[in-house]
Amino acid sequence: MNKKNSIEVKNLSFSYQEETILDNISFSIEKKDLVAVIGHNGSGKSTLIKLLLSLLPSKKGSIKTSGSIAYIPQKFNQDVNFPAKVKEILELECCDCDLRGDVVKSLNIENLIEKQFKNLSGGQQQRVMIALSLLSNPNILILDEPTVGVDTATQEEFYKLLKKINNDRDLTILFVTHDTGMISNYFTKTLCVGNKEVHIDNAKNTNTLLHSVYGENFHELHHHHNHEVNKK
Amino acid sequence: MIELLEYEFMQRALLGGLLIGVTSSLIGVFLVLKRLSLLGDSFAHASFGGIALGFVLGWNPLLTAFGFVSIASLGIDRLINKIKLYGESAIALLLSFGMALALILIGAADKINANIFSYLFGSLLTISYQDILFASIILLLVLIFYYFNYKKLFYSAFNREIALIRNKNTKIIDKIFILLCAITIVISIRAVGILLISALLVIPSLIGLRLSNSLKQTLIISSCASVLGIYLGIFISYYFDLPTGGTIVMSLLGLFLVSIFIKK
Repeated sequence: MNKKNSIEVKNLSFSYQEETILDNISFSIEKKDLVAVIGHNGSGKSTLIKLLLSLLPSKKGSIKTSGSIAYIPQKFNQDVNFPAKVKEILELECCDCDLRGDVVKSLNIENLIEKQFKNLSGGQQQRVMIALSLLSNPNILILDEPTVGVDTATQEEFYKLLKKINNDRDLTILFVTHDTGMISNYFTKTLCVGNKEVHIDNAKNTNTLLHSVYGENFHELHHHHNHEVNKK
Repeated sequence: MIELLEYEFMQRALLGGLLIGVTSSLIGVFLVLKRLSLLGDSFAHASFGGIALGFVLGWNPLLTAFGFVSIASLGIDRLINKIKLYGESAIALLLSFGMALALILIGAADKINANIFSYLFGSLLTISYQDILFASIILLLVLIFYYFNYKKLFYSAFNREIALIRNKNTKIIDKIFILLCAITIVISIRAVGILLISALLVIPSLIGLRLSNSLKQTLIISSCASVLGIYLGIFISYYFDLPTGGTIVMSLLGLFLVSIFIKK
């Protein structure tokens, strides 16, 4: 594995019930890359993430990662009324460590430690989830659409926070999103999943990338996202 | 009141109530958090099938039920995770299967012990030393399991997806938890009976969840509420000559109402 890389995927294929979802894909992600992962619903984004996390077995091809991966799942998979103190939750990843330390400070949740998770706002809960994932000292962090249904101001704050973590902790970050409008402002690379393939390009070229993968259908991605938000 | 405690049957009932109350609420809190409250009902009905089988074959009914629900707990895991049934559909299947089996066995057997009906409605006042021994062993098993796996169980209840990535044995932990849940239910039937078992699993947990500030507190408060409710039920049912199982559940409901007023 190239030392510069934190993820290397070679000739990876995946099928589910005889339907090919990913067909012989190869790509690599460099250390400290801040990657936006995009693609239509059903394009294979989630499958790719699950393969990277070893939640699905990769039968054909290889996946190499440098170090451990932490994962923050979609928001609606989280019980927002979970009856535990923030402290108890963070202690899941932090046995004897200092909860007044670096991670907690950088996420600005020092004053939330003694509070109950269910009494926090959506944005605060999100920060606790990030703290939990960072406490496991990962080299790679994967987030699955954590900002769906969150207001624009909170979303922007969240992207800034990701950029800061990415900088401060030398962390490779993969961020699954439908919000293609902001990618070039915050991310370094864009990974687009579509037509059973994966394409990576500089985040500045996101629109070109989308056109090359989806052609005329490219605007549906925006449209679909707005529709989802309105429903919530 | 003091004289009452001198009766041996009352001592057994109180000891049994303590053991069953603590065990069922320790299990119940995680069942509620994992959105599996009704699994209790399902296992209880499956145990009725097991108990009836024990009666018909002349085996120890509780031991037969332990074996029966242990197999059922693995079956339900397969139905949900491998055959991909919805959780509640799998629960409904198991529930009907256990009850149907019990009805067929009771109907087919010529002479069946009338005792079988004490399992339907519960009778803590007639609990035997053997039942208390079973209850102690189960509580011990649950405590040992929680002592070593509390964080993993907590993680899995908090967010199973992350838990699966962080702890490779999350699936095994979940399976053991369901198994412990199944055998806890078999013994808890002695307290409130098959028909009211959900109450014993769910109501103390709801009280704990209302009044606590942390998960650890929830477990402690639920256990205390459960034992308190069972004791109130035992005494009230004794003094007013009421069925114990129903009275215990009413006491627990009363405590739940109080918890609503304490923390509106």
